[in-house]
Order: sequence, then C-alpha cells, then structure tokens
Amino acid sequence: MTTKIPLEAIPEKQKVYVKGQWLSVKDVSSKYGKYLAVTPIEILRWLRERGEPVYFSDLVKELNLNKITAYYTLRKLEAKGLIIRIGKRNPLIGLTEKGYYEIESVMFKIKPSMIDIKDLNSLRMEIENVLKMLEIGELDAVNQYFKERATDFKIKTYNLTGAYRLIATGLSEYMFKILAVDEPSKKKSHINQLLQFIDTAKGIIEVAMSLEIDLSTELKLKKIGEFEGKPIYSI
Amino acid sequence: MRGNLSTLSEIIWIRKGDPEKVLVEKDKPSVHYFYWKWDLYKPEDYEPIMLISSSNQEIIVSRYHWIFTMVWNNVVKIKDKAVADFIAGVHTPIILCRKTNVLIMFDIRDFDLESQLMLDFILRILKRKYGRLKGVSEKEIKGYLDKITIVDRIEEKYRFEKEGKR
Repeated sequence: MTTKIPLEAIPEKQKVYVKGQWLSVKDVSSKYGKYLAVTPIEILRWLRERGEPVYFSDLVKELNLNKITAYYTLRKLEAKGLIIRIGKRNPLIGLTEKGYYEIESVMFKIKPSMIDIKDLNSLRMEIENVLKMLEIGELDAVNQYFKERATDFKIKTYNLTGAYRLIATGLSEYMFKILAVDEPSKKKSHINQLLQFIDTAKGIIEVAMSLEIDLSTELKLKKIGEFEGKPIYSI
Repeated sequence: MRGNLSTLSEIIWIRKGDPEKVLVEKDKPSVHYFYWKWDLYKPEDYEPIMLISSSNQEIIVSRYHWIFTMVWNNVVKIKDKAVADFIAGVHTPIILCRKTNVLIMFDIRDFDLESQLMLDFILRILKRKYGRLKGVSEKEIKGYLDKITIVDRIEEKYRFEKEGKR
C-alpha cells in the first residue's frame, strides 16, 4: 500500500522523499554516495557565505564534490582571478577581491551597462546632503553612506567596460579615500574632490553623447617603444 | 585693454567653436588664449594654442586638462594657417592633421584617476572623430581677429608654461 502524501507537506525547496522524510538533495547525495554537480558560481557563492578561506578537502567534503571535477573547476576559477589557491597539497582556497565582487553582482543581480548623467546627478545631490550631515557632526551616518556607495561602485567596476569602468573605479576609490580619513576637514576635502570628479565624468558623458562616441568600448593602446624609460603608445 | 590689431594676426583658422574672446600677451604673441566664460561645469576656460615655427615645418602646441601637452604636426593648412576645432562644451582644441598618428608618451600609472579618465576621453575623440579626416573647405573656416584682446599678462594660473599650475 502506498502512502499518500498531502500536498501541503511537500516543502517549497527541492527535497527528496526518503522513508517518510524530506531530505535535501545534498543529504541524499551524501547518503547514497552520489557526487553533486556544482557550477563555478555556486562555489564562489559558497566561499562568499563562508567568509574565510577553506581547505580543498573541506570544500569537496562539504559540497559533496568529485575531487577531480572540483580540482579542474577551481583551476578555471583561479585562471580568471576569482579565487586563489594557497599551498600545493590540499591547498587553501580563498576568494579574491575580483571573485568577491563578481559574486556580489550575481547575487544582487547588478548588471549595469553604463552610467548616465541622471545617475551622476542624483549621486551628486546625495553627496551634497551627506556633506550637510558631516557639517552637523553625523560622522557615523556619513561613513555608512560612503561604505555602501563605495561597495556599489566597486561591484560596478566588474560589470562595466571602457570609460564607464574608469568612472566607476574613480567614484569607488574617491569614496574609499573619504572613509579612510577620520578628521572631518579632511573628509570634506576628499568629498569636494569626489564632486569635482563627478562633474568631470558628467562632462565627458555629455560631450561623448553629443559627438556620438561610444564610451563602453575598450580603448586599445599599442606600445611601440620607449623614451627615457617611459612607454610610447600609439592608438 | 584693447591692443593694436595691426601688430597681430590670427595663428589658426577656426572650423568649429566660437570663443568669447582671444587673449594674447603683448610680449608673447605666439600663444593665443581662446577664452570662454564656462567650460560645462567649471568657470573660466582658457585654451592656449602656441605656434612654433622652424625652418622646415610648423608645429602647433596646445594644452589639455592642465597637465597634458599636445603637439600637432603634419597639420592641414588653408591659406597658410592650420585649422582648429574646439570640442563642443569643453572647448579642447583639436588641430586638424593630414595624418592622425597619435603617439602618447607617458606611463598611465603616473596619473590620478581624473587624468586617466580625461586621457581616455581625448584618445577616443582623436580615434573616432579624427582618425579618417576628410578634406576641409575654405567655406567651413573663420578667423577671429575681431576677438583678439592684447593683455600685459595672463593670470598666472592660466598661463601656458612648461610647468602646469594645477
């Protein structure tokens, strides 16, 4: 006689029925000795959630992976600069800065293709308000704002290309500089530099639009020689 | 002070752009400062252009974003003068050349982020807009004699000198 399972008892996440119990796919694969197939993104996400490097042996055990498949997947991730393997036998696997932001952008589905004038205008307005907060001594709120925005733009640097990537890099680095100083007058001076950078970026985007120049393409420079130790490039 | 115009002449033709005035120091007439009150978001825009003549060729030098020196040769000439475009909004001068072989002598890591961005931008313009320049006709160009003002000295921070002021 078969047991009828009430529909509401079926869990939302993908689970497998095993002798009156609902087990996760991972538990079933361990129980029956079947390795799981895992995508590189899943490995990155898992490392991101762990928050620290892990030994290769722990990674394959915890994710229930085939050692050889895992080895090749990790080698590919390392070639892309997303992870680093430290040591030779049973290496320690750590997430690199690039890997961290790559997975952040996947997790939060941030896939911008450009930065436009509207984005920069609203960013400028936000920063002008933050400047007022700084003037009334709300240092924590100022730091919190720049911490979040600096991370946003850092993530964008991995998704944008060409001049847009340079703009996002500039924005995040100016913001990190603001965070690195404690003295309000120094913070203010860095914020003014950031505002100037935003204006420069706005000007570039505006002129590029009027001249119909695509800022998203990568500009290729060809090194053709050297002069007094400095490279000479040609476009 | 308005100077004696008969002692001065234009050093280039303008194809695109309309400066509000052109300032020339009385002791250094080879540099013309093309002036606009505003450069998109910044006030006081001085775009200097300098003419350097040697026995066999004429070289034009201009400034970009305060720290870059642009040297133009093989320039297109109409009635013995080179032709300049001033980029809309930012007024950066582009001297029209017969061949646009852009050579850049620098190490990009030496620059701050803003300068890197500005350099990327001008290179894009030179590559995309001036890489394959078609002929320029006399109808497209204009002079600026009526805009020249002779001054004793340009304010120090805007002068075109070997060492930048900013």
